Amino acid sequence: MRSTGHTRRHFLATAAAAAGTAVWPPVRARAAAKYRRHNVTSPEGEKALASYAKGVAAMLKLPADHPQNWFRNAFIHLMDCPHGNWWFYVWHRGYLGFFERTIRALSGDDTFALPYWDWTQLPRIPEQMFDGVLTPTDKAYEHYTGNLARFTSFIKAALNSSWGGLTPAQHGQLNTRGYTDFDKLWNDVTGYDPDPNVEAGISGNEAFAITCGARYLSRDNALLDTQTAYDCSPFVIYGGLLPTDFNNPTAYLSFTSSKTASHNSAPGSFSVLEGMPHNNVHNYIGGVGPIDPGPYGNMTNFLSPVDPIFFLHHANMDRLWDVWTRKQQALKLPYLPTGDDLKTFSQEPFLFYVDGQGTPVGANSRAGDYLSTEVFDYDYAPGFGENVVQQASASVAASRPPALNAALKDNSGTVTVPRAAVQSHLADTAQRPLVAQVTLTRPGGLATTREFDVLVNAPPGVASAGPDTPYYAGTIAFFGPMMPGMRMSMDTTFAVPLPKALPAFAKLGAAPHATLDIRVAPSRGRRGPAPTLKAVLVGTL
Amino acid sequence: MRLAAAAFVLLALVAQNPTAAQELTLALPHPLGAGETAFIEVQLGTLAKGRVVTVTTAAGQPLGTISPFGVRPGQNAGTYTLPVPAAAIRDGRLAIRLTISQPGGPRAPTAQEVRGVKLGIGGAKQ
Repeated sequence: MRSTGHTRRHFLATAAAAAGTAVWPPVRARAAAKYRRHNVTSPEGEKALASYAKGVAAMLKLPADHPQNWFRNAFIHLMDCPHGNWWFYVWHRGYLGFFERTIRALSGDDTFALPYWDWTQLPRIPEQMFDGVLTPTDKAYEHYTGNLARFTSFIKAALNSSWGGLTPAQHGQLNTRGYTDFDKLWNDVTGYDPDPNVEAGISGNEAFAITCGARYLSRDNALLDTQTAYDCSPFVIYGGLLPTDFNNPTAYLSFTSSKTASHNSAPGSFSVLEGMPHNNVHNYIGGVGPIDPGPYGNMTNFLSPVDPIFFLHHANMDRLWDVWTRKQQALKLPYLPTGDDLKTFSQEPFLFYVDGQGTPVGANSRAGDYLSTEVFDYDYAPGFGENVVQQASASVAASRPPALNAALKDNSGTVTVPRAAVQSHLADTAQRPLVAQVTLTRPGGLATTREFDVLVNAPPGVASAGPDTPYYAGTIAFFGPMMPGMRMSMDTTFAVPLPKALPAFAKLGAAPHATLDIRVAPSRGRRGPAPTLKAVLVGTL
Repeated sequence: MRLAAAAFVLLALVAQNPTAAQELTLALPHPLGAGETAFIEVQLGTLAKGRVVTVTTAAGQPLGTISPFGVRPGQNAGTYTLPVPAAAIRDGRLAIRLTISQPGGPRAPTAQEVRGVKLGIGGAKQ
């Protein structure tokens, strides 16, 4: 929180540091993407569905030992998908990106881009997703999923053979997931619980879904129920886009779900968007609620990619990540983990992807490869939530006034802040607060006080004012002793974001400006003189 | 500096009716400021597959449905975050009802199923 300059540039840098900003990859201007993912309800989206259906049909016809077989592709998800942790978005971006390339290759449409299902705007399964192979209840699936015996006969041997060819690194990840041998993986397909006290199938745990029950929702019953629709509602989506941290230990301050040891770890805390719309759309389509206790349709379990709606659902989740990223960029805030967290996050191995030619992506695939949509060269046609980006851009472009210099008198700085700046500071959409930059002389000699409270409009007789008072704006602190052997500057500058609750703002009323009288006082009730103020500025973060 | 984030106030258990719903009253750490949104965090234990926890206000306004996905059998279902409309909060307090689905009709969740509920404030940086 320290700087030693007085220029506007230094001010902004200091203020950013005060807000906890660290190093993150620079924002690059976006070139036009080669592919655009459209809303499934648009003409372009409907056209994409035709190619999608061709690709799905081709994948269904591939033999079980082909990595791009429709069901084998779904097993990538069963064996490797992260949920309830901060790799949720990035893993699914890679999974969708390679799948999109597969559809491109097998449909013959080299312009294909996945359409997205914006369930906030359309809280029902899109009509076309009940046509042909776009529903897993179609007769084309019966040869494989007509019953569990057929499915077992079709795929188990090929899958087991593939299991034997996995690398030690892949087996290590599967061990973390609990799949220490192939039988344990297959138990999740059948729902069999080998616990000696059970030794029976549990219907709700069965990832396999029989053709006629592969999707609970139908053409005549396509609506999400009221609870699921609420979880997809504007209020919830805005709440999920609100956090300004990619990850924060406090769940409601975190865009992503919790940081865990690996992407195969058990879930921790769910973010709003993963825990609410993502989970509920999955489960309700599979029948959670109406057909308890199961067996459920595909979308409820880890073979959910057997239902083609999976990829439209996740394209919308990926779109919301993109919306959030661009909102962060517009606000000049980090959009990825910062510092060491970025390295930890980026180096997580994603070892199970298969590319558009049916070749394993390999051992060098890392989460860091999929941080940007650029790796697959796509963008999104605007959908719900896009206004969050526009509002952020507008707030940045419209309202960064020059920093205001305070007049210094009696060791206090007085500055007049225009009404518009105060209103912006207080507005719901204001993401960048007013910040006071205070330059003061570090007490020398025998002075031991290192922490000082910044007071705003405190009455003259108030010698100290902590967080429980209406005048408190924050505490600034010198770290470490003065280094007598070094030629250290005695002047130091701090940036303190101003609380919205200051009476100086509350009393603005119809006045054209607010006058802020800013000074510092020893913190925590310490006695002694306040350090000499050298400069006070007020600006926007 | 996130004063709002730092304060995190837990709830007072008001009543639990084992045949209907669990009712809780939660206190906000401070009044909502401009740009702030209240959130509740619901920590779940182990749930049977397909169990859904429904959260409403005491008056019945929906706050969200927690439907765990991606949880292997026997694992804890995780912690879930639900935004709360400001209008649902009265005098700094939020009264909520929790039910859990089961074949035959919803019931109050057990302490093993819902392990804790918190109310916090997020959104604006202060």
